[in-house]
Amino acid sequence: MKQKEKQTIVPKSEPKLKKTPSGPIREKTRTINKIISSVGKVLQKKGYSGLTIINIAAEAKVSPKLVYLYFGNIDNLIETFIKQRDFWNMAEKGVIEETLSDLDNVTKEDIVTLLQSQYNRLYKDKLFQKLIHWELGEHTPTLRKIADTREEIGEKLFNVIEDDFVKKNIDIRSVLALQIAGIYYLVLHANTNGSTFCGVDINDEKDKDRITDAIDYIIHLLYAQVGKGD
Amino acid sequence: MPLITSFTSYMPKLVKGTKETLMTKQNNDNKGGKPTSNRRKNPSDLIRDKTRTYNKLIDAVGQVLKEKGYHGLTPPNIAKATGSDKRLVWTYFGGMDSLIETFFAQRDYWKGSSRDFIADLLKHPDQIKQDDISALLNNQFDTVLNDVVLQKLIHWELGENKSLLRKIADEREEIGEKLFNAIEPDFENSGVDLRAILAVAIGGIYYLSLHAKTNGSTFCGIDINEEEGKKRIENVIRYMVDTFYEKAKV
Repeated sequence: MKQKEKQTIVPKSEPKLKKTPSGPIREKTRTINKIISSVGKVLQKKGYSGLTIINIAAEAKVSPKLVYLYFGNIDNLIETFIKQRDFWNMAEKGVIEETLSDLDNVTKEDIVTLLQSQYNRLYKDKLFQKLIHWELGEHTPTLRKIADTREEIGEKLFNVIEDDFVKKNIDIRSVLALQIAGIYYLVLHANTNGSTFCGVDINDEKDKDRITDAIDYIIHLLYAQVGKGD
Repeated sequence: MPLITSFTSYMPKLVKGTKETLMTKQNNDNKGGKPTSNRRKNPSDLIRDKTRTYNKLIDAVGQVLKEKGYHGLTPPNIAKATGSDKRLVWTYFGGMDSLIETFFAQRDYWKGSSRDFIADLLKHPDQIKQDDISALLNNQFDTVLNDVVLQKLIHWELGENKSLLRKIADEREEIGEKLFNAIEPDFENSGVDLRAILAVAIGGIYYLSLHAKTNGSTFCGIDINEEEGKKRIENVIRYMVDTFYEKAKV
């Protein structure tokens, strides 16, 4: 009996020891931030199906009770995380702002840069890939909102460039929809499945550039059709 | 409805020999994959039939995939959908992976459409025209948009790296490779990287279909759940293929 008592005492004292080094004073903000950033880590490690309070709390090394206390429920926590990460900014930081700041003068180079920076960001950002994959697998209001916000940003751009193409009967929205969707698919496919696609393997630097060139080629072709080519 | 459900479980005692009607009853009950485990063993099993159970388990893979996505492919879910014991997954298939493999081997995931289409084209490889290519792409678009199991399979491929999924992807590549070998010579020295362009286009078709069917939001302002939006994508595919053929002056 005495031995048993000893055993229960040891694990009880351990968490207390661990808590002190994280800071001299307890700080709510720090814990909240820790929980929020754990959402990203879990999403990256286990995909969206692993996003449970238990997994997130374990990743943050806090009690699941704290997650409920601070966020109420899992949806609320995920929404907070997504808001912080600015996921609707599809392109690399700055590219969209730059293009949108000078809306009267959007050139074909801007469009090419925009598409390529989306390609590069998604290619590098594992978390972003997981989010896109999640969007394709589940329907939740939060995911829908991300997609809709992204649409709003794109809409501003289309409103400016569309006119030139409409005159020539070119459906620029559909062309770009197909190109952007194609980029997303190829990146996701290469990163998980790893097989080639149409014989192209974008895990290979050379083939990755082939896709960049193909996008560049198509945009230039379209602009040539509306008489804005080189 | 609950009345009928509880009634059928007593059916075998009351009416013997009307197996046909009882079986259809059971199928209706099973809609939505509701748990049937706490009910008495179903009358459709008046005579035990190994093959029937075997096939039921295989069919359940498609059903679970459709309803819950690939995360849901577990023996308990399969058991729920079939109304049988989850242990049968191991008894008949040795495990979940091999059951899934059997399902995909039985079900031609391209449902004949694209494969037959390509096989037809390859009978006369030198006569493949641009209209054939755009028809092939639009045929794929149609197939993915209408086949929920195929959508879930593509989604799974994007989320998990499994040897089975890799095998399916590689098989698809093999079919495509034959076609590329036939049409690629037309584009030599044209500056058109046909493979890269078609990779983006086909990937785009898959993505747009999945996005429309699950997320439901528009994409670049286009909603392919509407007939008009779908037509627009089809037209662009045709337009692009035509433009490239023109460039290559075939």
